Amino acid sequence: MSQDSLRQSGIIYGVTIYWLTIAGCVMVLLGSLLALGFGWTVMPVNEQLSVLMQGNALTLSHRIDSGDMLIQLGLGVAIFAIVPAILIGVPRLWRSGFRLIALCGCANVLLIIGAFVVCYVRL
Amino acid sequence: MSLFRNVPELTLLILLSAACYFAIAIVEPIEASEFFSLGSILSVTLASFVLSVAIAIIAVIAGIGGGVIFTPIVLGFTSFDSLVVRATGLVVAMFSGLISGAPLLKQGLVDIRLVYICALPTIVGGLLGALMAFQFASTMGPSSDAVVRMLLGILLLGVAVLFITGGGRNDYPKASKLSGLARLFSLDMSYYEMSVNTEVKYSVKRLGLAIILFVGVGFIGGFFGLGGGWAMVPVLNLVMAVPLKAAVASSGVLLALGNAAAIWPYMLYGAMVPILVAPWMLGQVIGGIIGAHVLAQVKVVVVRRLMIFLLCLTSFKLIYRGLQDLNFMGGMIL
Repeated sequence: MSQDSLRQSGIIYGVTIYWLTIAGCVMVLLGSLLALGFGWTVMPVNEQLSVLMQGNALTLSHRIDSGDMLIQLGLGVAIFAIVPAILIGVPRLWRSGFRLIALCGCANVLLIIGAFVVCYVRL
Repeated sequence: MSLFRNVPELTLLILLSAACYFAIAIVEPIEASEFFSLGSILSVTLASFVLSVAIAIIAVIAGIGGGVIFTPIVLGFTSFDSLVVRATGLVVAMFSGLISGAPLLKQGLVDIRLVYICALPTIVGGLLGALMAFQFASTMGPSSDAVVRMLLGILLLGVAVLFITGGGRNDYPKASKLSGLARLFSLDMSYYEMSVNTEVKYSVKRLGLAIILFVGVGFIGGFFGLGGGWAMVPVLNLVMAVPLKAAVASSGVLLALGNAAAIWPYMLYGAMVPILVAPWMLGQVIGGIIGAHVLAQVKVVVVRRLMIFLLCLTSFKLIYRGLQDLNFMGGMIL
């Protein structure tokens, strides 16, 4: 079993997440500009904040053509970055003999995607 | 200044953020309401961003998720709906860990085997906790927020005690022969310790017990929107015999992966309000990068003392507000 492969897989995991998170950040910034700067939101920003400050829950419709959605998309990109980050490093782990660890990595991916699907379907 | 030269993406993100908020201030499209003027909306956004940067730096240095600072403070001192606060808390807990992982993995402080194995029970626990949070809110109705505030206050007091006692830290546990589950996964590891210029070897112990504990840590993190980094370090260090420095580094990376599933229920059920979360996410990323790079130069003791003060103050406030909302202490003003 090669310790080098293990370390390389770790680095691939970290670096993939790092850059995709930064990409997600840029999307969130753009979404903020559209929502706060151009008022491109599902519900006016001042109304959203007023509802929240009064301690009430807020239900926003998922409209694709809004700054809010771009922010959500940016967050999603950063969170989902974990999936490719694991999947890119797993073959290297498998080939170098860390098969149980590779399987654990895949199980993590399945759980993250599975949780998303279950929540989305229940919604 | 060398940090900004060495990490150009950090400089770029800071400049982009500054340009974005400057543009928002110039355009002024938001109409004032009876609660908010344009100035106050911008102030809330900018204050959230700056506070988030500060929390991320503290969180990375202390080896905890930022959620344990954010969620109690916002729940204790504002009237925001608790599910919205907990959703934002998970983002705060996750993102500094996501971004600080790369440098820590490059330094070899974090072993990816540990992360993949420990993340499994954490994800399961976190998802159950997040789903339970919604179930609890719908079953208990309006009183659920008060109960959550009170329980969180009590939990935080326990965390503060853990920080005060130091949890019986174990800097360099002795490496021993692997047994049980740890042997199955070949969990004998090492990292290069710069301060003593040597390679530190260690063997993971009691993996079975740790897996059960990680389910619990994940559940609490998902339910309260805390993340769970505060509990991961003790489990890694005291139960699994991972050296303290490696445990602190691993907890952030583990936290990010472990909360990746717990965040979906909050996001998909609409508890995550984009305009509220955005400045917190940006602040966590920028603060997380800074924290990972200044980690070596900061006195951790100062951060720990600040954390203990914040935890104690917030926990008393949370317990008081919880009791007040449940009408145990109606009339009294703190």
